[in-house]
Parts: sequence; C-alpha cells; structure tokens
Amino acid sequence: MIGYGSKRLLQTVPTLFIVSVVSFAILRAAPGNPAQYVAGLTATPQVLAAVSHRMGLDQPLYVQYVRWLGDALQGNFGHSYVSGRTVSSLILAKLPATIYLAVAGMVVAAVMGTIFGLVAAARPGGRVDSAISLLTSVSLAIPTFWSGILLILLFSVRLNWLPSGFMSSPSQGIGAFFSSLILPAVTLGLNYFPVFARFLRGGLLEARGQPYVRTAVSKGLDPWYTFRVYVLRNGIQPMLTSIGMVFGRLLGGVVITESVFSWPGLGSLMVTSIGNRDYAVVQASLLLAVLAVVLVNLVVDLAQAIVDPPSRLTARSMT
Amino acid sequence: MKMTSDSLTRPESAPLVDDFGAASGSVLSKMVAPMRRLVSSRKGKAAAAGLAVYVVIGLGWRLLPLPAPDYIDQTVRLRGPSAGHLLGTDEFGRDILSRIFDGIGITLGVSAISISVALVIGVSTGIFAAYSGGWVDAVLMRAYDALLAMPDMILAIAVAAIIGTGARDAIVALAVVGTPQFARIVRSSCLSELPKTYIEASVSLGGSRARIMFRHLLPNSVGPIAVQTAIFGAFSVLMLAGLSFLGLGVQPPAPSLGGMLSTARQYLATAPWYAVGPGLAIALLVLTLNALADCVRDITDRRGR
Repeated sequence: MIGYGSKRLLQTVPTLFIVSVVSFAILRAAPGNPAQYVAGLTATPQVLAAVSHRMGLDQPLYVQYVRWLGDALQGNFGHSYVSGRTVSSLILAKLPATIYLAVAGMVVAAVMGTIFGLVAAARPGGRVDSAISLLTSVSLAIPTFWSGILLILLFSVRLNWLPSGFMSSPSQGIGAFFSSLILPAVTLGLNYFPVFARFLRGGLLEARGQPYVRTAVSKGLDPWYTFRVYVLRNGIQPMLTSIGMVFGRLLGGVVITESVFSWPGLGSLMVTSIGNRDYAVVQASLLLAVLAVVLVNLVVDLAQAIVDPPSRLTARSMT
Repeated sequence: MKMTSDSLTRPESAPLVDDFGAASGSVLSKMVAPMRRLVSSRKGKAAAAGLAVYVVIGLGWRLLPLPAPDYIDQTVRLRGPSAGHLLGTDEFGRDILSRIFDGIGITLGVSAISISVALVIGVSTGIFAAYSGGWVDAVLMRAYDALLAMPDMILAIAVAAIIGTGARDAIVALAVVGTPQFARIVRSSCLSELPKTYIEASVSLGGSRARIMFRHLLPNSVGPIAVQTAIFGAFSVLMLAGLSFLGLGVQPPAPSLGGMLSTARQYLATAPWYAVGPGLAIALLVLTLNALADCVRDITDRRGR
C-alpha cells in the first residue's frame, strides 16, 4: 500500500510541473510589459528599467519561473492589475461560493446517478432501462448553460418559485441560501449524473454476472444479502472511481454555471479577469482548479486502493 | 531482404509480400464495409442522417430565402416568432433562425478543423510513441498525461486566456484538448497490435519503420480512432459553445450558438423564445454525434468478436 501510495504520488509530479509552467505562461502572455502596469504609462525609461529590475523581469525566463514558483508555493500570487488587491485575498473571498456550488452539484449528480443507475440495472434491456438510457443520452447532450437557462425560464420566470441567480450568503439566512443554491446545483447535477448512472449500471450488471454471485444464488442465500454484499459492493467500484473524472468535468461546468446564474465564485472571477486581461488572477484561479482536480483524483485512487486491493496492481496512468 | 530491392524487382501491381489479408490495407478501403454496416442499424441511419442534415444546413443555408444573419432592423427588436422571422428576432432585430444556421456552419467548421488538427498530431505522435518505446514514449506520454489531467473545459479556457479569443484561437484551444486524447487511444491500440505475428513478419521481411507504422499499425487502429473522432466531435461542439457563451470563443458580430444563448439569458423575461433555438441546435448536434460514436463503437467491437 505504501509502495502504491508513493508511486501514485510520484505520478502527479510531472502533471503539477506542466500545470505550473502553463500557469506561468499565462502570466507572461499578458500583452504589454508588466512593469508598465506597476510604473504607470508616463514612467520614464529609467524608472521603467528600475521597476523591471526590481520585479526580476530582466532575469532569464527560468530564473523568473523558479522565483514565481517559490512565491506561488507560499500562496503569494502578486497583485491584481485591475483592483490592486492581492490575488490570494480576491480568491479566498470567492472560494466559498464555488465550493458550495461544486459540492452541491456533486451531491445532486451522485444521488440522481445512484437512483437512475440502480433502477436501470434492475431490469436491463427493459422499458425503464431504455427510457433511462435515452434520458442520460439527452442529458449528456444538453450543455449546462442551456439547461440552466431553461430551468430559470421555468422556475424563476414562469413559476416564480426560485431566484434566477445570485447567491444568498448563508449568514443571511439558511433558507434563502438553499433556495438560491437549488437551481445551479440541479443544473450541474442534470449534466453530470449520466456518467454516474452509466458506471453504476455497468458495474452492477458485470458484478451480477460473476460466478460467485451465481454460487450465492444457487446455494439459496437471501437475495437482499446477496445483492448488498456480493453485487453492490463490487458493482459500485467503477462509479466510485469515476468520481475523480466527474469532479474534473464538473469544475469546468461550474465555471459556466456560475456565469449563467451570476454566482459570485471563482469561475466568474476567472472569466471576468480574462476579459480584463488581469492575468495574475487568471493564472492563480486556474492553478487552484487544476490542483483541486489532481488532489481529488489522488484521494479517490488512494481510497480505492484501500477498499479494493487488486486495483493497486493497475496503477492508473491517468493522474 | 530489403524493402527497396524487393519493390524494384516486382511490377507495381503485384501484391506486396507482407500484405497479409485483413492485417493491412489502405485506410480508405477499410472504411467501406463499416460504413455500410453503420447505416444498416436504425440508430446508425438516424445518426448519419442527422449529421448530414447539419452539414447541408451548415454549407447550404444561404440558398434558403431567409433574411441575412447580420441584417439589422431596429424596428423589430426582440419580436416573437412570425412568418417573416420563424424563430423571432434578436436584440438588434436580426433574424434568429438565419443566425442559428450561420452559427451551425461556423460550429461545424471550427470543430472539423480542430478535430483534424488533433487527429493528425495525436495519431501520428501516438503511433510514434508506441513504436519507438523507451524514453520517447515516456516523455511524450507524460506530457500528454499532464494535459489529460486538466479538465477539458478548464484547459480550453486556459489556452484561450493565453492566446486570445476568436474562432481561430478556439480551434487551437480545442486541438490542445483533443490531441492527447487521440494520442492515448492510438498508442494503446498500437501497443496491443505490436506483439502480433504479422508485425513480426513485416519486420523480418525488412519492412521500414514508416511502413510498419502507417501501413500496419494505423489501419488496425482505425476503429478506436473513428470512435474517438465522433466522441471528440460532440465534445468540441459543446466546448466551442461553452467558450462562446463565456465570451472566449467566436466573437460578435459573428453569430455563435453559445454567444446567442449568453445574450438570450439577459432577455429571459421579455423574449423567452430566444433561448430555445440555439440550445436545441447544440443539443441535437451533440446527441447525433454521441449516437454516431455509439454505433461506430458497436461496429468496431463486433469486428473484434
């Protein structure tokens, strides 16, 4: 287990390296001279050169990269070009909203996926199974921004049941907070539950076809016990493994969903910052998103290695 | 025996010594039978027809008697569906239907180009990595793994943030997302082909590296490549629409399905019909491409059985 764990940890190193290079590249891709932002447009060449020197911009790129990496590791991403506030304070202010949304979206997706997966696997090939298969196909094809808009049209504009956007902070009342969270979370859930449903259905059907299940059935074990211990425990593995993958995709969906619902999270911050060419903020929020994905995948893999020892043998190549 | 001396002594038309039946052959000649099998199922027929409709609309919508997509008529802003404007008008009084059709054309164009770029680079580097093995394989695949570790949409946004926004930049962003996916799939398919006897036979007959890679490994990876092409096609449509929705893809005044939805969102209370057409156009196209991917997978799986 320790061997597998350290091997799995090592696998993330090249990923993190490339991600850090991409983040650094975003910062350097900023059109114009970053020193100009700091020194101001009217700065004389001498002042500009001095500011450049102080910011380390006259150093070779790899030196700049190492210095940037050292700062980044300490959570220092510099200042926003637009607001002048530190990037870390901007991100920390937006982080809770994104975490609420991502977690709520994952929960809705997992609950819907589990229900539909279980129901579909009950009678494979039956009418209900086909209907669920169609539903998952349609759900996968509808982009988050369209399902979000349709939900707003129905539940906010037509029925006026739920707010069409903006987050109500939990400190202003828990009821208002949840009612503002429902539509965006359901939007995400609708888009990402099909993956869970399909993995669960496939896993259950495969587990049910195993010889040990046939043995359990033929020796007259209680069907519910057989299902719980022999089928479910093995059949749920693929769905659990897919959590990492779904979480990664869902984060992309969060960026869009935040934009649909004017949700004050990291995604909105990232998109506005790209529009404002505020690259210090863009790179830090991207870096954080990818770190979260890498971390979740790592945790999922390690958890699976503990629960299901054979999976350690096939150390997955995708980190 | 060297390959070159072999081809010098034989007439061009004679079959090459190491062309063992099903194992080799040109990519195109291998496509005919699966194509026929594709349209033999009902789902396959529907998917192929659906895609054909989209292509015809994307290429030929200008022949229809519709108002020009960029014709501004401020007197009919945000009107509902009518005889003159079947899907209504947008905030500048432009015809929504013709803008959707134009948007479909742009979507198909951007997707097709980015798929081609990702396919060519991904497939060739994937085959190369599998056949070379060793450090070439390790370096290429670690780099691709790192890209694959980033969620597609986040990666596309990152690329757009670096290189800029617009249709051309979106093509690059989508190709960056797609290339590692193609490379991974082709590499693993090649790795399962490499130990087979016909490769050994070709090597012992003196087949060149290029010959083994492109005449043996490539044709035998056509199935997975075809499946991935359809899957990535659906993905690229969704991602382009997503980028455009965020304002990072196709830029106005050019119509884009995602951009139209972003505008429609601001007028939900006054013009609810605005959001229906563009969304439906995206969803049906993605549904078609996903169905196509399913059918292609069924065909290639059946061949394996």
